[in-house]
Amino acid sequence: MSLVVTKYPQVDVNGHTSKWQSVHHPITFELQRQDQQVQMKFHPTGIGVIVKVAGAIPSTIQVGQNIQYFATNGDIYTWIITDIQGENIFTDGTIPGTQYGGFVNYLDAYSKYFVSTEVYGVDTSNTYFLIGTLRHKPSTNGKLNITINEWLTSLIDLKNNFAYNQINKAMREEGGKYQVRFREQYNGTEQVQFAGANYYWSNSAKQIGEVYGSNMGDFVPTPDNTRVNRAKFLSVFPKPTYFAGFPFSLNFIYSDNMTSRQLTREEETFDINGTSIATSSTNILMSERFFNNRLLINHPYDPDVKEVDVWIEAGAETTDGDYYQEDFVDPSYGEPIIPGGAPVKPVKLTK
Amino acid sequence: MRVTEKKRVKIDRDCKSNPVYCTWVNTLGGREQWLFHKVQTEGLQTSREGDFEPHTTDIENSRGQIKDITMFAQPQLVVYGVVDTEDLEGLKTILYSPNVEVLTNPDTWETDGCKWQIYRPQAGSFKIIDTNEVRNTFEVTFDKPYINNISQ
Repeated sequence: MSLVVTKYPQVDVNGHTSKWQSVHHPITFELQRQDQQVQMKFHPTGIGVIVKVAGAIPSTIQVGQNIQYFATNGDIYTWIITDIQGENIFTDGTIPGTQYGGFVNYLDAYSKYFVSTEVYGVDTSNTYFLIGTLRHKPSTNGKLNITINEWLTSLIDLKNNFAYNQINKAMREEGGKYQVRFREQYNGTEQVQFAGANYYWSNSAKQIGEVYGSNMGDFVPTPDNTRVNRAKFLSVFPKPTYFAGFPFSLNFIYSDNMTSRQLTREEETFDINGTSIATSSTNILMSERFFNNRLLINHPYDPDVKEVDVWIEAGAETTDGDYYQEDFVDPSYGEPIIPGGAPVKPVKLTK
Repeated sequence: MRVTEKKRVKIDRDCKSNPVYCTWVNTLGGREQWLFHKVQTEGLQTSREGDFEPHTTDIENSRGQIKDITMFAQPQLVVYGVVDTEDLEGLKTILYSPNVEVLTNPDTWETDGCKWQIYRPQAGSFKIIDTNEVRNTFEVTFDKPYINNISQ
């Protein structure tokens, strides 16, 4: 049995993936139930359609039950099983021709089918904790739209909790890593839970017409020297003002795309005439990654400094194990397991 | 490799009298800050929270007819600033932020840590900018934490 995630809440940013979504808009995983992959479907003369599946047919599949066949062209058929021989399911279907691929769902054999989704947050010791569990039943075409952002809003704390005492700090209540874990259940029995998938939320609300929609791609740093518009800081001021003697910070997304790269805070100061005075570079704390971060600037400044440019640079990738957190799991490891075949591309259903 | 924009930060070192230092959340998931100073207007809004009128049996010695259960008292603060037009783009977001906090220890925050208090911007219709002006006056009225009162 398997689930395939046909759509993740992510976008492509010039060839890199942004998994950061605004939590005040729907964050939706689209899944497709696929009970068993099909090698081919054919229709011999004089009898009904035969569906040859990949692998052994479960013993709970019986004659007289309903199955649903999903062809690769998007057509969906519901048939009654008339016989089972080896890997072949005989049906009462009448659609002519031979088709390869696709999958079947056993509608009657796997009764009371639903998917439970567990949503996990990450605490200050980088340990996952359960926020909540959702249950979804698939639609008649086997699809599920699982929207989880309402659970993540429970992590928000609007208070200013930054102590302004370190160069950068993960503000977990302002955005960061979460994990979803899917599990099928049918016939009253929980099935094996799929490995978790790490994604990221931000306490943001995007506006109509903004690029990338509800995704924070415009603000997500990526290791891409060809990117024209580099990641923005999370500030609406074109030029924020630092009032000397008062606490000041910038905000940025310390994204998963920066894993295993040393980031540095770069600054260039300018005098009243706009002439460059000096530059500085300071390592950023890697321990604070995967969350929305506050960033201190390098004050105090000399009296002749009137403005300062601040930006972040990323060094080369490193394989040094010391840079890895104890519980580090590469995000790509958490993809749902799909036994028996490659994921099916989302297809347009026919009437 | 540069991975973010270059953000230009202005530095203001002028001495400020009567500082009111605000931070607030914006719609991007970040936090802004601004310093209001010089003249502010303090106000107070009150309202009755119920009353009762006990039957008067001794008119000669009665002290009055109506007694208040309690009174609600809401201090207010109006802050002003004459700011560059480019700053209004960020400053106006304080008017609709669900969390605005004011630094209550501007003289000791570096040793004692920041102490914040929530001020709530009043809702209403606002003029933000005259597009033919280089600098504009910006004003915001806050409801400060209300006064905890006694009741009977």
